[in-house]
Amino acid sequence: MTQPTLVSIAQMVGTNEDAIEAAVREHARLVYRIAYSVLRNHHDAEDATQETFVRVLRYGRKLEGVEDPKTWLAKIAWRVAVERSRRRGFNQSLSEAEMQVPSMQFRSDLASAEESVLGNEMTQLLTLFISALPEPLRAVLRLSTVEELSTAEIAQVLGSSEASVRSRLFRARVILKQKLASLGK
Amino acid sequence: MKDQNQDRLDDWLDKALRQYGNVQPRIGLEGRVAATLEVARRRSATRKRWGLCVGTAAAVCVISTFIWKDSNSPQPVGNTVHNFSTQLPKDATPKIPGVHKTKKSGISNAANNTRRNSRNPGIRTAASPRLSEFPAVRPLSQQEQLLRAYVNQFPKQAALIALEQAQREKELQALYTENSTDSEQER
Repeated sequence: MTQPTLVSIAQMVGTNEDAIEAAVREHARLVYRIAYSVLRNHHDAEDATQETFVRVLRYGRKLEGVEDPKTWLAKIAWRVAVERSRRRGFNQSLSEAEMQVPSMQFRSDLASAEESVLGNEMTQLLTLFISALPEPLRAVLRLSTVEELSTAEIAQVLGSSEASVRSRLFRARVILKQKLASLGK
Repeated sequence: MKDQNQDRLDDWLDKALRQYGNVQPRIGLEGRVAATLEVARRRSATRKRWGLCVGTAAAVCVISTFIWKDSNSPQPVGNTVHNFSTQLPKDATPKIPGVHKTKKSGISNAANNTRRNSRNPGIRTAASPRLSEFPAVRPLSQQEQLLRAYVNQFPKQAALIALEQAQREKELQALYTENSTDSEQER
């Protein structure tokens, strides 16, 4: 039995607007992270987040019949982010924004400044390697870095099976490990 | 040793991926999104209102045009609209000379007509139009019949009315010409 979310309560009790407001409160960060995972740029990610919720407002009547608002929103956010990235030609190569990952955008769990610097370097390196991955593997890996999403939810967002998501994730990790190992040699 | 290295690499990758995905939006994202939604909501409401206004105006225009056209269209004097084509008596169909004579008369086109008539027996065409009787003779309409009956019954009154009408028309024409000359002079 799943716990009732704010959105589901609003769906049952309040109006459609209440449900959308609840969705904003509950899932805005998830939507932002999904958008950021694709766009790798703070401003674009925020714009994509806003566009996602505007789309939700436009198709608000559908929200009443949605069983899992989180996955539904994640799907819309993913689509919006991918559309934006295509529009701006993010897929061509690693963009400048991607290379210059501002350290302020990351919550630093690392204790020392040295670790923080290392962490940033690590992230930049990883960003490079991930952007070089084939598209299907890259999509799965990017969504897997969003904490809130499980494998089943990633599968729903991408419209594929859980098994395929797992195998793609495994392949992506293998490729990344190979690249990292080659760096160490 | 190799397994240890693999484990270390796995750990490092996990940590790096966590770092990669650990992004926090600027403070107040929810508020900004809510504000954008409010603006979008207002905009859509305004658009709906405008659409309603435009739709209503268009509907009013269409209805008023329809009414205006309906009131300006010429109407029959009586209460009922008569369809003269259906009201005509069967024997009162216009008799165009030559139509029935084609077979009897020995005109050169007769053979041609009979050939056509044999193909379509319902239609009979005249050999040639008689321009002296153009337009073709047709029975009087109901109004005309009524007028004729009135004139037959009260010839004096009818003559007086006709005179009155003629005078009235002359007066109107004079008035119209005066007005037009005045307006030209003003210019």
